[in-house]
Amino acid sequence: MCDLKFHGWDLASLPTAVTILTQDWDGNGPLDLRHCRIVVPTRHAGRRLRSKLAQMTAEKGSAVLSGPIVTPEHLIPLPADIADDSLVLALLARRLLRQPPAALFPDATANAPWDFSMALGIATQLQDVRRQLNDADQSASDVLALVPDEEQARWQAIAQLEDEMGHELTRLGLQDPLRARREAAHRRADLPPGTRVVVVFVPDLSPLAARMLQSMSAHHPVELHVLAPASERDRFDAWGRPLPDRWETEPLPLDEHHIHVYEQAPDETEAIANTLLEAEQHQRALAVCTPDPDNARALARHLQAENLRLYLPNGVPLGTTAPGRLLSAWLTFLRQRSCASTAAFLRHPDAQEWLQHALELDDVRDLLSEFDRCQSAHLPTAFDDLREFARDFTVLPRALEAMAQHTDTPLGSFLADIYDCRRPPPPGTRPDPLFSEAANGLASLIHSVDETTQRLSLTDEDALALLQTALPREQVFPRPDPAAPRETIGWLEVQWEDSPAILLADMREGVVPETRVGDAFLPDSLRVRAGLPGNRDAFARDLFLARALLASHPSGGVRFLYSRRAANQDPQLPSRLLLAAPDSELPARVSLLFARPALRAARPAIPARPVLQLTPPACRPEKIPSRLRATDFSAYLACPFRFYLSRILHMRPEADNARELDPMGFGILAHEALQQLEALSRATDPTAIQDQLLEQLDRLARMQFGARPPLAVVVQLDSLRQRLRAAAHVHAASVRDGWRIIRAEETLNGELDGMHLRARIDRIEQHVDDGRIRILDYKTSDAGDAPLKTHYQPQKKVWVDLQLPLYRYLYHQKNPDAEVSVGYFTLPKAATDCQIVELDFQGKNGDLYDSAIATAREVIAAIRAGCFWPPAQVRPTYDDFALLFAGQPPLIEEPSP
Amino acid sequence: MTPPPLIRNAALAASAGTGKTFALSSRYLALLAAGAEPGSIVALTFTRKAAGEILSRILTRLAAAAASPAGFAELTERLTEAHLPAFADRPAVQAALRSLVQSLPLLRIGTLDSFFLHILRPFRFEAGIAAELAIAPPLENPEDNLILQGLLERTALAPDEQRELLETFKQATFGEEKKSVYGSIARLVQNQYELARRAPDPEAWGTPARIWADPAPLLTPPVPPDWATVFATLDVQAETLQKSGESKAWEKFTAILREVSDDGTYDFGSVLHRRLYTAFTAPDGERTDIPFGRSAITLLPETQEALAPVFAYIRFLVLNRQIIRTRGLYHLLAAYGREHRRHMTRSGQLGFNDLAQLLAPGDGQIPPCRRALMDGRLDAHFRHWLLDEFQDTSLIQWAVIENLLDEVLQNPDADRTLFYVGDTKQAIYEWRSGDPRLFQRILDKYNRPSHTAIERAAPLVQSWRSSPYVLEAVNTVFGDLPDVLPSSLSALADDWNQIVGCWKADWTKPHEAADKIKDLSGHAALYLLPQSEKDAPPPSPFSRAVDLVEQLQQDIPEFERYSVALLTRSNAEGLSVLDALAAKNIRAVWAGNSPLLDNALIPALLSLARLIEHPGDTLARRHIAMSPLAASPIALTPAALAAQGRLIREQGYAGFVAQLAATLDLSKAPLELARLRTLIAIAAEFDRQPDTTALQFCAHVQAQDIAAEDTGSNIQILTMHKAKGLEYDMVILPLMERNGILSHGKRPLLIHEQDSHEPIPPVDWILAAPEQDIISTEPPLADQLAADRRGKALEELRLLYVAMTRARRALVLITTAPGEKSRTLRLGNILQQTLAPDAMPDADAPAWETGDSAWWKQAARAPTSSPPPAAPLALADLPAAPTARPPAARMASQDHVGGDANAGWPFRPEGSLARDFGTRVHDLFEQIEWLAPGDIPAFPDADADAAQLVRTFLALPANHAFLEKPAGTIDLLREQAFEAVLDGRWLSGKIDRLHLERNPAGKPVRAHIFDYKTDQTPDVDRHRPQMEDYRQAVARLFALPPEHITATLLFVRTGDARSV
Ligand code: SF4
Repeated sequence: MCDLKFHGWDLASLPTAVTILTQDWDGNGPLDLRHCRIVVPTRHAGRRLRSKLAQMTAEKGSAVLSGPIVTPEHLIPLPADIADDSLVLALLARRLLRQPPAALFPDATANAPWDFSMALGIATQLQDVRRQLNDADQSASDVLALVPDEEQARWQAIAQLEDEMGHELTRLGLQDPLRARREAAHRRADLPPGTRVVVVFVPDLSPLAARMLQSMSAHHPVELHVLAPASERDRFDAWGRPLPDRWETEPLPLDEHHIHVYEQAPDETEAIANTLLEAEQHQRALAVCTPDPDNARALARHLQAENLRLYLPNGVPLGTTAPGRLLSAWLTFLRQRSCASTAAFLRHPDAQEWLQHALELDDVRDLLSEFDRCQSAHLPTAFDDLREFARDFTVLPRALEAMAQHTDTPLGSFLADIYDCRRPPPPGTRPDPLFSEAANGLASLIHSVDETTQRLSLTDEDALALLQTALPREQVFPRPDPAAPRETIGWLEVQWEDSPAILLADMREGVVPETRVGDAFLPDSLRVRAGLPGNRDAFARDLFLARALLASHPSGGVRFLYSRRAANQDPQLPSRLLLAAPDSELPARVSLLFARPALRAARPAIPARPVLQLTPPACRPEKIPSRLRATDFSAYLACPFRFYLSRILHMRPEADNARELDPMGFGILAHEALQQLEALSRATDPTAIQDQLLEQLDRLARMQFGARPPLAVVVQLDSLRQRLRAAAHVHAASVRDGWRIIRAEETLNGELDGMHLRARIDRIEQHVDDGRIRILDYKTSDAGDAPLKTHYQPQKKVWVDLQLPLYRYLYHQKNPDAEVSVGYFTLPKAATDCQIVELDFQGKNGDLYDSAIATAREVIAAIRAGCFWPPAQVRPTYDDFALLFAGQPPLIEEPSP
Repeated sequence: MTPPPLIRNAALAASAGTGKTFALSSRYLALLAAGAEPGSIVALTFTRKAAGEILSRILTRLAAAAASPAGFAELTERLTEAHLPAFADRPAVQAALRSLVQSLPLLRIGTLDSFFLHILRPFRFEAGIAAELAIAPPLENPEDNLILQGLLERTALAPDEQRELLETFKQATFGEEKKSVYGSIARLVQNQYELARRAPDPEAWGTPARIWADPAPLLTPPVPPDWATVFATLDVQAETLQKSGESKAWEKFTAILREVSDDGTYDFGSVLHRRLYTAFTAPDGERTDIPFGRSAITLLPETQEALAPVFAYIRFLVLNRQIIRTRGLYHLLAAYGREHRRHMTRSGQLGFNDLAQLLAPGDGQIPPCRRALMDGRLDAHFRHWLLDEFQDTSLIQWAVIENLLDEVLQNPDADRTLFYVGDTKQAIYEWRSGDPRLFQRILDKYNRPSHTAIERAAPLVQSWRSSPYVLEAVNTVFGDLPDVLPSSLSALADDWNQIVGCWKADWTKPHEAADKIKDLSGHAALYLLPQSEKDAPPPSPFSRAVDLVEQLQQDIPEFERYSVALLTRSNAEGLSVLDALAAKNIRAVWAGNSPLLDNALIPALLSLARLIEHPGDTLARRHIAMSPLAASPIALTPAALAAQGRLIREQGYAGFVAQLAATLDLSKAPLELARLRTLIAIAAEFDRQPDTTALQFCAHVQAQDIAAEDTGSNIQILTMHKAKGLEYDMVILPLMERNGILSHGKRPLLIHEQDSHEPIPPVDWILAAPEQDIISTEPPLADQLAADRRGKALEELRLLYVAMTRARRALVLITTAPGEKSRTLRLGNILQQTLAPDAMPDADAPAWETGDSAWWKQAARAPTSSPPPAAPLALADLPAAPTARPPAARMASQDHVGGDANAGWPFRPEGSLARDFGTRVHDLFEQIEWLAPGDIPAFPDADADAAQLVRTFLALPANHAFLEKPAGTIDLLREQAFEAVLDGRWLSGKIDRLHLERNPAGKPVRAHIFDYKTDQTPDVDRHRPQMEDYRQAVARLFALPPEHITATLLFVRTGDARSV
């Protein structure tokens, strides 16, 4: 049997543990722990212990010769022939795929094709269940005896899966790691003779770990140390675990003033951050325990913004490290071969550095910009289409070629090629502290999936699915950061902190204690029956930890922090530890936690207003345009400042998120197809015209989108076809009415008040009878509004567009005697509304043409004067510049003229 | 002694402000008093905030009763008064409190959504979901809708599926192909997907036999008219026309018919054409003339006869188009549904709407007989159900709940209860599928004449919120809705009477103020602004409201202490009021804004994020250059942008923003600083998603709504909808009404339910609504439209009720006097008719008022001894100790890697091989204790290559000698780990082999360190620091002078041994 030793709780874990381990050391020679196998609750606790031992021995001028310091899971080394996670998952998934057990997943094929990667999804969940059971020294078949009738079928299915997986492993000459662990626990432990096993303050040994210790105790001394006074002995079981019956009603000696209740998590984070910053400033000891890793990260970010680095010992999912993201992007690319996944890969800086090196690019920006332009021009969805279109560009096709060439390269070599091109980080930036851990983790993951792939002869696709499933399951642990003066710890190691002041953050239900409510496989009642720690055990453990923590710290040294709401406003319940009050105090405690006003982050007392502004550059005289297009005027009239941004500063967005033709692209395509009408100037047969137009459209579409445009574009082209059909009728009718196109796509140049004007005209036609001229502009807007409506606002008597009046003006300048009318050839969404509408200058107050030209003169004068202010009051519906116009009113300084 | 009252199933109607939460909490407490387990009670509501209030109310009431005899008496009184069982004594209360707090994690007090998630999670496999569940964030823009992308990108669909979908889409948008396909489909899906799930039966979609009594003419295309004859007849009539205007109109008429004859797809979009249609479909015999402009053309009998088949043909065309559209819509939604299901199955990502869907009987796979399973997996047995805000419950939500609690209602004697509370007068969420009819229908379903399964509790009308004057306004308007409309609106009388009838069914009694606030001063007023006249535009209700706020700010001392709400109908209106206030330098909070972007810094940050991935984006580049970021040391060079991009990959967007924040001095810009912190938090949340892009990050941030309370103004502007559940000292309600409440009826779809008294009536038919004039010629459609219109109008009334009942002390209503000949009924009319039927419009004086306009002079009674806030955290209060920082750590050992140190090395197969190989070599050396001279171990079980290498190395006598035991007392340590603190650094390491010489007294005198390397080429300098560390550590461990320690690198591959 193991030897249970009690130590009192006046001191914290660390000094007590040091005392335990140094009791036989006289200070002469090194502290020799070679024969000790030390078991600690967490990795981080082990680290603290090693560090403390090193310090303590250093004070006596010596050092430590250490033995293994392990967490309970690593008590026993596993044999060499065990299968790794990826193999187990793949076997389970393969079995599931071959014969989906209806008892487990009744609906296997109804809603989605049942494939390997779905089966992997289920396998990972089952494997997690198995792992939990393994901790309880159980397997699925053991559980059969424990579950009620209605769950039998399901567990039988799992047990069978487990069995078959075991057999397959045996066939492969390997062992199931979970079963191997259990067998090892039951076998005589193979420790070097003379080994002393010292379990230091592990309050929640799993049944399996206990079983291992028991096996060891047959031949080796096993000491279990408990951080509690001997008088409390009967409140613990034989393995030093607090007994729920004896703890759950224990009130904590907790002063209400030491509980800080916050309105929401960011308030709590800010309070901790401010206290830490102050402590740092005054060089005061202050420990912070953040049981919730998300909040720990939030705290680290908050402090980072204040230039204080915080080291987080928490594990990071391998898939979220920088190289992990690169691999993930590449895997997605290999599996999807889509344009979007290509982008995701190209946008990874490590991929860029590789391509820059491999293709000897001067500037990797060209590559990304080319990608954006190619994407928005051709809207490819598949990689192969993208490659097709990329031919028109310079760097992009080479980059895509490089990617294509590597699709068969073994992943490890590919990543190696990429990272070999990596240059040292630029001075002033920190190297990625996780890089080498992540690189090793990825390499071994790839290696293990490769082995599984070979062993099971998986297809390439399945191998990729397996890797993608396994990637997020792995974790890497950051090395201590020498640049981080502060660190946080988890709840289970808070005892290992020797600062007299400790802030316990996230004191809420579900975190401390970690309560589980509802589970698909292991609900609490079953956990208890299976011997796994249940909710009561978790509560007892945490109550004990809190009790010991309070006992070992000066009064007021331990602070409990709780936020009523999470950052996303989800309500949070306080930890029941905070409610472990004597009956007499409970009502007041309830009131404190639930009713009394909570703390909020300090806010400025006066209503704050934003003070920072945008300071656009002044317009330099040489930038004032000397020529304008007829279409520029509406832009200026709509908003002079946006005109300045777009036409003078040439600010233009570039992106790759277009999924269909935008209105402009739609219009351009329509225009290009309609150019065909010039050749049909005399045609009156709508069918013949239609045929030509549609043929032209098909040709253009094929050029722009290739043989397989995305479905959205197919629909758009269809709409365009509809409109062109209607346009054919309208065109035929106009020919019948005597109109003939005399020029199409004609550029008119002219001058107004010394400003060079330019217009690209869709269609100039002349009437056969009287020689009248009509200038038409094709309009593909959905609504099909008449020209007067889009040009002129009668209530305000202002022009908002001058395109058509300027057409007339320019034409007149060349042909002073012509009788010219102007108008739209509209192609709106309701094809039946397709028609030619002339702009009727005759308003209520007479001819408006002169006022239009007067407006044009004003615009020209204003532009020449560099007058681009103020911006329009009304925000346009679609505003490229929306981000610049934040604030009420917009926070933009008037550019100095 | 009388037995404690029973807790019966009950439905409670509770008017605004009458303490619904209180009633619900009473019920909960009574259940506890009657001995119910806390974990067996389910209390559900709609918002997280409301859920929090319910829990805190239950706990604080129980705590107060546990704390003192007076508190106990109070609780007992309240429960008894409500005819509920009370606690026997204070110890019983204390025990209940203890049990409640111990059961905290088991309490099921929350939102319907969270409850549904809670029960779905353990049943995900049964629900057909293969992955862990995750609630997907709502979509910010259609481009992020992966399901839609899956549907619309070639990659996801087989060619025939694509063709079908294309056809479907064309049908669904028949004749209206907009340019944006994504936008159109996204909108269709957003608006109609829930309907498609409620009406999965394809027969419900556009089936003429379900809609028309005589569907025959719509079932088969009629034979096209004999057009030649038709036009000939028309030409004959044309000759009879006299006036030129008439013949022009006639020409148009025939032109239209010609187009119909051409391709049969004529669109009746314009007014003239719709009128024609109306004329066409007039009952036979009445079709004597065709309206044109102000006149009409009388049809000759021959013409009438010739036109009859034309009209039938056109009717078919027009209605068939809607039928096709409706079916197309069904197919489109079904295709989306399949894609959606596939996505859910594989990813486990669900929206909140999916939860109920997956749990509802029919679609879900969890039949009610699995109750035992459910109890087992949830470790709970739910016996008591308390449902809050019941009027907002949707049919699908009810289907889930009903499925779970039918044992309650079918087994009335068991220890199980249902209680629901709501106010159908406040049902304003029908657009979110809330169905207030459920309130009554459930009673209808379960109550039999012989047996009352659910009791209708006495409605609550006593307000704990509003002053008597506010209530007077509410009672006057809503207790007395005008039975007769002004004569100008007589056309609406029928509709209106039905609406009033519905309203009266919900309005039980006038509201009255509770005793506690009976004497509270207050004020209510209605301003009736004059109609706009030609020249001088009168004040609009908005500008009047703004003036009023300005005035109040001057009049009311300590104005900031009072909460003031300005309620508007739409977001756009709210923003315009905000602008108007800002123009007067009054800062208000817009409760719907996203203040994160209300400054110049955050938008620039988004541009930077964009620029990193899209370096050609000149907009982003120049934006940054003119922004406050230009002052930071961030460069926009390719290398600098790449470094930022890498930072994002390493630390997420949160790290990126935090890092930037550290470079900015925002001490003078507190608001910007606060926004930046919020952004960090939002970014951290965003970073949880895998594989994100800069554009997604920007869209995510732009879509954020930040809680409004941040800016600290007491004036809030919000929509009437958003105001539900909130209360303010003063409410100002400026009504800007463009449309009448009865003109809102038209929706894109006409949906007809079967006549049924079931709580969930099946959908009978659905039809894409044709033009209004066309609807009016088709009786079944017209009836449905009228019903929709009335429903919508009723909701408008409810919205007004909600808005008015938000006020505690003062309520100001502002409307414009209706025009005398106005034919539309607006909420303003109702206010005027009820409050001030005879008043003249006046912008400056109220047309009606009650109470004291200086209401603030009487202070509200201080809330009963409000408890002090929780203690703040201060460093000064913590025990002080100087920082005892653990020394900076260093690993002295390196991995067993050889070769050069390129970053790609670890990935190379050679890299991991070398690592493995190195490890194997080390293992072999570790096996060696001492070698006898000439003895070279065979390593029989070892890896052959490693063994060969080691043996070759040892074959060199000089090398062999290192492992031979020297004379004297020698300790041998292999793979020995150590910990030491040297020069303030904490050093950990593992020494491959150490020979420790001791003198006869046992004191160490000399040490030899050996380290095995498998490098391809020996490079001593590379390993020198490590060896130096070892030397120092050994010196410290054994108290040896460093010069007595040798260190030797054994390069196994090359056979070199080099001392360092
Ligand atoms: S929501 Fe309204 S009615 Fe319900 S309890 Fe709160 S204040 Fe009263």
